[in-house]
This record gives sequence, structure tokens and C-alpha cells, in this order.
Amino acid sequence: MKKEQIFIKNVNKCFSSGEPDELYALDLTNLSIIKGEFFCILGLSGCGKTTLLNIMAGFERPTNGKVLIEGKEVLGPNHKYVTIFQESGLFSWRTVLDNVRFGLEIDGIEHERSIEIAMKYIRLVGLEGFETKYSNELSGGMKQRVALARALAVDPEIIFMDEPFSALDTLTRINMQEEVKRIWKETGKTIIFVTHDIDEAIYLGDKIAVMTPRPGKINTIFNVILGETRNKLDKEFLEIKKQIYKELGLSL
Amino acid sequence: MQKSLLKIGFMPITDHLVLGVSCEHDCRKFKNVDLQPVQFHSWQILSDTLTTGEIDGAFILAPLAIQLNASGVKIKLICLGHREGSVLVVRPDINKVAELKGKIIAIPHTYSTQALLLYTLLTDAGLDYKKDIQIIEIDPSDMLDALKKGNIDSYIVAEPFGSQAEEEFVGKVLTTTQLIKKHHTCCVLVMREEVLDQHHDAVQEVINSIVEAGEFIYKHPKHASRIGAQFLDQKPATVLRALTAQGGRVISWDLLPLVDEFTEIQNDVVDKMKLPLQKIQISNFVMTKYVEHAYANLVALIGKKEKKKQAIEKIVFPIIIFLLFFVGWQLFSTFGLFDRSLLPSPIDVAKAIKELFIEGHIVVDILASLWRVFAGFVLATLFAVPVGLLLGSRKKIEYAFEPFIQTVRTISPIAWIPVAILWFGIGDQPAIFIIFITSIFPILIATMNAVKNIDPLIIKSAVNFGARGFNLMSKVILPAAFPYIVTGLRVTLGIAWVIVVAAEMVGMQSGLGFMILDARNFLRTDLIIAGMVIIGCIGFILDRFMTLLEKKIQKNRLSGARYLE
Repeated sequence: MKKEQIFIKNVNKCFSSGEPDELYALDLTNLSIIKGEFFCILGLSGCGKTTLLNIMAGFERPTNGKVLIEGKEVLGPNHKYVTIFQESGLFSWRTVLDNVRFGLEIDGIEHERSIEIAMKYIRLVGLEGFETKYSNELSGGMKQRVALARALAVDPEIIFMDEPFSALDTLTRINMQEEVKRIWKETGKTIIFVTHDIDEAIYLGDKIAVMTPRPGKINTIFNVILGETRNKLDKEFLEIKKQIYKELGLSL
Repeated sequence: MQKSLLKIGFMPITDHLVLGVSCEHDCRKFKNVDLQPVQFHSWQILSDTLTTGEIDGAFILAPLAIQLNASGVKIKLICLGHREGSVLVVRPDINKVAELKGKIIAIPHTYSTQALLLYTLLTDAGLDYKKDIQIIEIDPSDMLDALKKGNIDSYIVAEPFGSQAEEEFVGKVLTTTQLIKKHHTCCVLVMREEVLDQHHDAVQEVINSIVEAGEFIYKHPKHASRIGAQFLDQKPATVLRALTAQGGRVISWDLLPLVDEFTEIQNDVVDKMKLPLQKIQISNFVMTKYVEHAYANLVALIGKKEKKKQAIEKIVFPIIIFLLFFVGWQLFSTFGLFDRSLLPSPIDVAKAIKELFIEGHIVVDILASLWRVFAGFVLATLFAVPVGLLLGSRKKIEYAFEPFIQTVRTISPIAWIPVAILWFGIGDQPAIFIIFITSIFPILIATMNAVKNIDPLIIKSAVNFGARGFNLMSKVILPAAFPYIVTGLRVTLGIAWVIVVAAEMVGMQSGLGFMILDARNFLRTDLIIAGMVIIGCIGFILDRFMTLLEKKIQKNRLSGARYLE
């Protein structure tokens, strides 16, 4: 049975400047996300997609409305839903292993056990052998893998990803997209993935919510009914791409 | 010890320039060897002379060297002369390789790399090396003349005879051999086996020098071309063109021979060109140990030079500055403005310092001052770092306290001395209190700023994983801010050392400040300045110690912070 996990209820956000015509960055009607879904939020820069993600993840409060996760209102950040940012946000004074262990340490998991769990996820993201390295010894792609392992280690229900690969070079980005897809399949987590890259969204997402700016709105949600393996040159792939271009008001 | 005489044959081509540069740099400095380059103009004569043993070794074409060894001459290949470095020169009216059909092309020798490369070039262009062109052998230095006279249409040879043809507008370079085969080998240094057996150290010394020369040519082509002009009887401009045109036509920085390269050359000569040759075991023929040793030596040498340079910059120059100061001071006090009793000379002061240490009480004063600084500084750190962490991470608390802090901070620590004495009497306590007051504010402000400058993303991530309160402070904020806090501590310690002297001048009975005041009461200016010098020296040592600590903490991937956690 498909279970609704995140429900966004008439959320809006304004950055008030005290002026009467307050600037609404975001104005959403109802939106729900199913458990285990790979949900992409696609939009051009400045459309409010990061604000929406921050509200869902509890880093910001909406001006009106609320976000429910598992039926409970989101009032602040919580390690049941972990966010991965454009930069890895790793702790430079900790090794890879200790970075991945961080959340477990905070949860008070016993030391030996936490190492076991951390190693499991270090292996999952393909960084075995790098446990004792510090973040300044890692490449951009490796840092994001550590961030991913650190997030997975606390066994969150949802992983939010805010343009996680936009700071990487093209080849690494393609590589990381595959990795995320594989890990998503292996772990079955719900992933909310914010991006401005149309190909990336179609390649990864079950659903793509296309946002338009001022105020940030979602008008259309595309169901991507492509198979397991997606080819960016397939006819169906290009068809969806065409529709999204149209939705964004771009010419192909 | 008798030096070994080594005669090494070469031809006047840029391929052999390493020998010229090596000799120019090192021939007079060699410890084990008397190196004599012997110039030839014909490959045939060079190889005959090597066969008879009149020369001990030679720079020679690789296929010719293999052929010599195959025919029983006991030699080993121990180093490359260069890589790449040859050119195909044609009459000005020839524009394409295909146009060479039916033409006369000169090569330096039947068993030459040039012949092999020409074979490759022609085959790739669909021409038959044996049938479509006429090959003749001419000595390299005669080729240009032959082209001028019209006896040949083209020649393939080592530089600088391509650059020379270009400079004299006799012919043009149709292609360089680096375009036929990138990084190819050509001339190699071979030595007779008995020489290698008897003069191992001498050979190693020569190879070290040749490898260094190769590096030198690569780094300083202009300088090398001047040496080359003499060595090769050419104009400097011609040699420079050969060394730098097309990003350098001759490679001199990689002289390590690889067995596979020569196996390939041997196979090509026999299997493709069908030249008569008894194949030899190349791995027995090529000896890399000398070159490997030479490159290890070169790396060490470069490291040493770098260190020497740094040592000069970091040690010698500062010492010069100090010396200049002392000389100026000496002159000033000898001819100077003030009476000798008011401004003693550096020598007087040196004597005074000696007197102080012989008498011995200065040690007690130094320890007293250091103790006061240490105690006040540590107390201030223990207090100010936690408070700074709190203030830096809580906006509201910072807003509340900031004006108060800025107000108290501006009161000079010196102004606290009278009340310190009233409150704590005489002894160490008032001085420690003054240092405490001195140190608190810089540490507090450095810590606050360090916390405020932490990447917000780090805090955001930590909060996401549920870190709050003490956990957040001790596991994230403190370690993230720590390297910058240490910088603050270093600066503060310097200030504390400045202030302690002032504090000791008022109401203390020991310490360096007291010592200076005491000396003034006896009108001993030499002792006063001696005390000042000692203060300066100790301040310098403290600063260097803290800098070292700071660098270590920041370099060790902030592992100091890890330790704190």
C-alpha cells in the first residue's frame, strides 16, 4: 500500500521587509510525498526550491501553513530526516570514520557498535580504505559520499538533498547520480532531491515537481514512468524533457 | 687518488649537448674522473674507434649500438643522450611527404634512428622506403652542404642541422621526429664493459653530471645554448632554436633508458626494415642502475638547493639585519648624540649581560616574570575561552555583553596596577592579576570571532544530527573554532609579556621589570639595556614557540582540536 509520508499543507513563506507588499518566496497548496519515493523538485535558481526544502527539513519555519511528516508537524531539524547540502559540511577535524559516526555518537550508541554501523555505510558508498582520511584529503565527490554515508548511518526515514552534486565536475556528477540511485534502491529511503538540472531530475526521479518563481509555486508534477535503466537519449526521456522545458517556459 | 681517464666520443649535434654542458660545469670539479670528450664527424669512424677501444664510451645511435654489441663489441647502454631531437629537412619547394617520391634522401647511418623514423614516416604516407626513394648515407655535418649543392633533395638528421638550414634559408623543416614518434629515443651513451668494471665510481660521477646537465638544459635553454654554440661550433641562436622551437625539439630531462623501447627498435630494424642484425638480449644490454642513481641524486640535490635557499632567506638575512642594527648602534654610541654612560655600546651591554648571568640573580628574575605571565595567561584562557564560545554562539548574549566588554577592554592594564596592589598586597598575586586582566579580552574576542566565523553549514549539519547544548559546544563549536583560538592565544601571550614588565616596575620586588628599575637606581644604563635585550629575546622565543604550536595544530588536520573533543 502506498503510504503518504510528507504532507505540505498550504505553506507559504514571506521575507518581510516591513513593507505592505511583502515578498512571498513561496506559496504552495497541498502537496504529498509517498514513502520510498524519489521525489525531485526542479526549478531555476531563485524559484524558492531551497526555501521549500529548508522548511520541510525544519531549518526554517513557514510563515503560514505547516509541513507534516508521518502525521507530525515539523518544528525543527530532526535526525529522522537528514539533509545533504551542496557542500558536504564535513567536520574537518574528524576522520571519515568519525564523521560517519557523528550522528550515532550523538544518539549515544555504544562505541564498538557505532564503528560497525559506520563501516557498513562507508562500504555502501564505496569508500572502504579511506576511513582514516581527513576531509581535506578527499575529492569533492568523495566528500559527498561521506556526507551520504553520515546521513544513512543514523537510519533516517527521509533524506533531503539540496543540489548535492552541483559543485562537482560533470563526470563525477554522473557517477554520483548512479551511486545515489543504487543506494536509493538498496535502502528504500524516501529521497527529496532539489536540483536545477533537468536531465538529473529525469534521470533520478519517480516524480518531478516543477517549480516556477515569484512566488515559488508547483503547478505540475510529472510522473516519470521510465524503467530501471534510463538513457538520456531515449525517446521517452526526451519527451519528458520537452514537456518540462515547456512548463518552465524555455525553448528547446 | 689517481683519477680515471675516460674518453667519450660524441658528434657535434644538440643530441649530445648534455656532454658539453656536463663538462663545462663539472670537468674541473670531478673527484674520480678526468673526462675527455672526443669529437667525431662521422658515425662510422666513431663506431670503429669505439670498437678498437681507443675511446671508452660514446654517444651513439641506438640501432648502431645494438648492431655493434651484436657483432661482438662488449659495450653496455647506460644512459640516454636525449629524446626526440631530429628533423626532416627538405628543399624549399617540397611541401608534403608524398612529394618525396623519387627523391634522394640522406640519412646519417644505415643503423640509425633517423632511418627507422623515416621508414615509419614514408610507410605511413604510402611510400616504399626501399623502392620509392633513393637513400644515401652522409655525415651529419656535410648534409647541409649537399642540400645546398643540390646533390640531395632532403635529409633526416639530428639538430641543429635543421635549425641551421632554416636560419640560412637553404631548406625547411618538413617535420620534426617528435611528430613521427613522441618521446622517442635516439642517441644513447654506451661504455665498454671493462671500463664499467674498473671505473664504477668514475662512471657514476659522469652520469650524475650528465643527468644534472640534462635538467639544466631543460631549465635554462638560453644559457645552455651559449655553451652549446662552443661545443658544437654553431651560432648560439641556432642551438637555441633547436632547444626551444616547437616547445623544444630535443628533450634532455628524461634520460632513463627503458628495455622495451630498445626491444622495439631492434624488432623494427630486423622485422620491418629487414636489415641484417643478430638479435641480442636487450635486458642484458641496457643497464639502468647508473641513471636511476643519478636521478635520485638529482632529486636530493634540488632538495638541498631549495633548503639552502630557504636557510639563507630565513636565517642569514635576519642575522644580517641584526648585525646592521648592532653596527649602527655601535657607531651611534661611539660618535653619538648621548654620553657613553647614557648610551652604552653593544659591547658594553654584552659585558653587562655576562655579568648578570655570572652574578646569577637574573635567572630568578626571568623565572619570576615567566611564572606571572604563565599563571595569569592560563587563568585567563580557562575563563575567556568558554565565555567566548558562549558569547560567539548566542547572539542575544553577545548583544547584551558586547558594549560592556568593549568598555572594560579599553582600560589599560597598567591602570589596574594601583588597585591590584591594594587588593592583593605585594608578591606574585597582583602581577598575576594584571596579566589575567590583560589576557582576558584579547582571548575572549578572538574566541568569539572564531566561533562566529565557523561555516554555518557545519553547525546546520551538526544540529540536523541532533547535536544540541553541551554536545554541540564540545563536539563541534570548540573543535571548529580551535585553530583560530590558538592564533588569538599566541597574540595574547605576546601582549602579556609586554605588560608583565610594566607591572613589575610598580610595586614588585623581583622580575625583569624590577631588575631594570633597580639598575636605574644605580645609574647602570648598561644593565638596563641588558635587561631590555633579555626581555626581547625571551619574547621572541615565546612567540616562536607559540607559532610552532599553532602551525602544528593547524597542519595536523586540526588534530589538536580532535584531542580537545
